[in-house]
Amino acid sequence: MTPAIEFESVVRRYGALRAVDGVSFRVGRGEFFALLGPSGSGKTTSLRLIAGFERPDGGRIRLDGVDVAATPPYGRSVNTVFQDYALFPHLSVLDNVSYGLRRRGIGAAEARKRSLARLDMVQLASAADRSPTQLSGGQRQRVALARALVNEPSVLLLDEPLGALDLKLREEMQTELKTLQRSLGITFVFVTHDQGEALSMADRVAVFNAGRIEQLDTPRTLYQRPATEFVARFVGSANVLKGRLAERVLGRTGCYSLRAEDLRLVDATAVTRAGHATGTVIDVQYRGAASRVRIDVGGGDVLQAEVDSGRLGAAASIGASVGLAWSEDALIAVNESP
Amino acid sequence: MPSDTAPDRAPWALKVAAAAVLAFLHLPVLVIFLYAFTTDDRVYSFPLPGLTLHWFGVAATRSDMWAALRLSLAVATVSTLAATLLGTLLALGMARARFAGRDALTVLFTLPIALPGIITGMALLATISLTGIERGFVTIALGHATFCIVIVYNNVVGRLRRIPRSWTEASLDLGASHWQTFRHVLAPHLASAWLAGGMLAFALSFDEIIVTLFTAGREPTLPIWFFNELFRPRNRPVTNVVAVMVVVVTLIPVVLAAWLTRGDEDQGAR
Repeated sequence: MTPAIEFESVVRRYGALRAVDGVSFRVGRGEFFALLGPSGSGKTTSLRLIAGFERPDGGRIRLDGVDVAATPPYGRSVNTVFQDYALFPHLSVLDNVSYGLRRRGIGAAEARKRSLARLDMVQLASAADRSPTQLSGGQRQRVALARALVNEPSVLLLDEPLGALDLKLREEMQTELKTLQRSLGITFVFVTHDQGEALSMADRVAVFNAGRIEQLDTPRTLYQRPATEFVARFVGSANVLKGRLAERVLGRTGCYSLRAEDLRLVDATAVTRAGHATGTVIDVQYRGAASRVRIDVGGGDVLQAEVDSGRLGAAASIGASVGLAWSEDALIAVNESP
Repeated sequence: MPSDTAPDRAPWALKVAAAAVLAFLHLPVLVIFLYAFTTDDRVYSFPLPGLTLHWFGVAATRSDMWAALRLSLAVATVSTLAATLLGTLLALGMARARFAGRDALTVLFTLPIALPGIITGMALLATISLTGIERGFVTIALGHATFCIVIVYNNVVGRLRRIPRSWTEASLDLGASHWQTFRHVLAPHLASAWLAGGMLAFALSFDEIIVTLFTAGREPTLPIWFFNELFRPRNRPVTNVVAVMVVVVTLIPVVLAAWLTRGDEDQGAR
């Protein structure tokens, strides 16, 4: 089957900066696809290339198998939910939603009917005649969603869709977006810098760094088998042991990822086997069920362990000497990032 | 009640100072109003020898004054429309553009209004002579448009820069063409900038005299008519009468604009 979106060695330059530097990926129809990365990594530029706000300087972009290099945004079956929602303040909520239909020549009555149906889908039909300026952030987001979906695009793009919402609302919207995507069967592509969001919502995640894709995989694989040091740190918030530290603690060379929850705190005197470490607790962050403990293992290196808060005990108080233990298969060899 | 709970009450010294400034600004205009009603047709004498409406009747019959007024209104209308069109196009091109020499280009647009009118006038006269166009309505209107463009441009470009780029992108994304985006998204937000810029451009054109002296043919605009009248003391009160009417007519759009844009500041705080 033809992929919904296909990037082939796409390059986008801003002056000397290669914002997108030879990126290739395919997004299948009906897939929930995430572009994850820190700011300036090229994820937003990639989204804008799909929407047509940017033109590639090199490579090919195909939507439903068709090269869209020369297609303006209004010629693409793609709609976007903007980070700032971009609702038009001079139009009512209903007129915002019917904007796309009206501009494409659909009659007022029909446009109104379809728009109200979409507003109903996001539970905002009652706000149809209000101004978007009177709505809360969460409501604006829903209007933006209805406005994009009323055009029945084959791909919906979402630029940091949850970034401006508070935690509670964000969790609700995560579930809602996921449910919506399943019921509509539309391809969703969303940009986020929040790895938790990407892992919990997406079918597959492309991890961006410095204009390139570091790894493209399912959330489970990304988390369990990070391919690079960058992915291990950014997606798994894992400890990375390389160089001096790897030699001293592991007794071997190379670059390894070791997730915080795979580290166990043990009695410092119980560490007898070679390779396992001892250190001093320098910080304990309480995070509800789990706590994150930072341990100075000497030589200026710090490892993080995620420990069940109930089993934290007095051993893990700041300044205490602790031992660290892990099983061999928790160590994952990764490519060192420059 | 303690005085610090009434911050809107100004001390008397400030009130006197404010009144003095207002008097300084507007007393000369009042003088013109006053001498529009004098019975003395030669000199400014005080107190007035008597009051009369006679000069209003005389002014109404002066066909040369009416012709000058019509010319001035037509010139101001045409140069304002031309400036609004060109200034808006310029602003649309420049608002988000980034290229080498952009700032230098902006200075070039501003030059016609920054240069002394006498230079602009001489330059236009030289150019008009070169092209061989007969001086008159067209040359006056074009001359005025050169410095009205920047007025509209400044207003529109300032507004465009405050409109988030995402609005334009959202419109294109939803299937609107560039023209539809301009018509349905940008234009509603530019309306008050056009009004403000257009009014200023109109006012600037309406009372322009220096550049006009170089670009006009034999037909005088109203400011030139005034200028010529002042050398004919017999009709002095008539010029005052016309001045009064100009002030009254000018106040209408000013008040109208203030009334039309009264909600702007609240809406601006998005």
